[in-house]
Amino acid sequence: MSRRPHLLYVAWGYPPCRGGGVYRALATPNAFAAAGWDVTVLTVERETFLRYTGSDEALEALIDPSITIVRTPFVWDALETDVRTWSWLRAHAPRVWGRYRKYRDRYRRFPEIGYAGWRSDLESAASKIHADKPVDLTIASANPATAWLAAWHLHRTAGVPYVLDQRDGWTLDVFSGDRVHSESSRIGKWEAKLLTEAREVWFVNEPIRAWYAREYPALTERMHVVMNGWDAELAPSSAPPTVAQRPLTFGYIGTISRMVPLAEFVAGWEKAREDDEVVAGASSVLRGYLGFYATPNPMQMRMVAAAEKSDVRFDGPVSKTEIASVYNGFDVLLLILGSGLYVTSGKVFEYLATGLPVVSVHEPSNAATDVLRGYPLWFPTASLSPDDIADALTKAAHAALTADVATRIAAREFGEQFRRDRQLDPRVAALTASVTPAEVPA
Amino acid sequence: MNVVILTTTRIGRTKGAEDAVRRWVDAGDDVVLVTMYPHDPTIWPLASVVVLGAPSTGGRLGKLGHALVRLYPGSLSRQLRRKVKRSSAARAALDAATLVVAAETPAVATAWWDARRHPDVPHISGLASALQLSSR
Repeated sequence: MSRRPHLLYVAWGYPPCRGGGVYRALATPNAFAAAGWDVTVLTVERETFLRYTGSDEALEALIDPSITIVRTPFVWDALETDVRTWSWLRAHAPRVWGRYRKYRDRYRRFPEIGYAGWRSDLESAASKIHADKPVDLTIASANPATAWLAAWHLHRTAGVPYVLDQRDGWTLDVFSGDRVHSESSRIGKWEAKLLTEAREVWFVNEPIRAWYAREYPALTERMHVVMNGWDAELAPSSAPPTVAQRPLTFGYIGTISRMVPLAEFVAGWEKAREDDEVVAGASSVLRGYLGFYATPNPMQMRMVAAAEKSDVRFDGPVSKTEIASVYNGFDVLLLILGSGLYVTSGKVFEYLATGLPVVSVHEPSNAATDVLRGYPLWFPTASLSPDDIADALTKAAHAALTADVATRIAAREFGEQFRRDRQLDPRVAALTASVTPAEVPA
Repeated sequence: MNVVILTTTRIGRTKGAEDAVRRWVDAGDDVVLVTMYPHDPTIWPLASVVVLGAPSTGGRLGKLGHALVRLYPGSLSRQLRRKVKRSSAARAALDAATLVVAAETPAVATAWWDARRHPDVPHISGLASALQLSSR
């Protein structure tokens, strides 16, 4: 009797995680389950997100009910603020403790500070899952890279093939384009070892794949781009498109990190309000988390507080399941991204699904530009100077008032090509064809 | 909730401290400040302030001393802990606390020792983290 193939999907950031990468981690195992696989997800316990990063518990309802979830303990030393759990050394000599922790992670476990301690729990859990029900394929998704060790462990001990979902890449700095870890470093050696034995390696955009193809030319054929796309079940807007009315609302949704050029945007926003009466009467709303952790980053708190003086309002995070109503309140979308040839971001795809005018506030060289090129209501800034940003904002504002329904429908149709299932389907089909589950006795 | 904030600095200069105190008080909590420097309780809505007295300065430490203190901030930590042990008002405040907050790194050691006496009471490093834990 043949059995359904069994996928082990390994990711740290799985619902209820609220990080930007969680949607990819949610969608990938769901896609394999829909394609007829038995899927087990190996991730960390829910409390990790409730305590350290913040959570979006509504996302758990979107997990395919056929998926088995195995959660392991995860201790995040650096973010643990309850002093009761601290050692004497940490409480009395925090710098010495910090150096000891880095040494321990870097040299004794795995060269990834902060996450390396997960390795032993991860490997034990992977072995147990395989013993209970043989795994035919492992897909392990960064970030963190430590997640790949479950795939590596099963491959070394049981010959299970694996896919590395590199996403942004480990040794590439997507903002500067530099190699951040040399080939001879421990990270460089680990990456080469993991890539060499992978069945497939996935990246989020073509510039990153091309960079890795140059670094590892022998592996080029195994490297694939699986773009993030937007999730049909979390569609930003299903209502028929309509022409906007004044006063307009410009909106940004996404994590506000230190890489987001908010100060540049505010300077351009002020300039546009001085020069154009439509923008002068408009408002601007920022939605998202301030930094990557549950406690808002003080630097980003100061950034948004400073922006309020220019009528740029911060309304806090929004659950992905409430995203449609938030998009419905916006007339123009702001794509404010850090600079970098390799930066796409996940929100660009969601923006395209709305059919709304999109203002790109990022360097034209960003990988996001390739995604947006051809979108009928795209208004890129030529540079991050206040004049250029103001010009793009003004054009987008007028387009919001004048673009007819046909243009907006064309914009949505353009976005259709970036649905997440369309990104994943080719890889699911190829891997399904390549994996033949072992015969099991009746 | 009885919140006790331990600090070795002039709390009025700590960014976010006033906002944190007001958010606790607005939620109906009593906030007690245990500090080495005087602070007028009427400036912020504090239930009370326990002033322990200023620490001895590190001016005579020299370069080597300062380098060592960066690795082991024991001097200030020890002084706060000693002053808390000797202050009945500070001890009473900590005994009644349902949340103890170390506002900055040198205050953590005192919170750590107090956590040994009151293991059921959360002892948190950092005002922002404590606010988040108490859902304020």
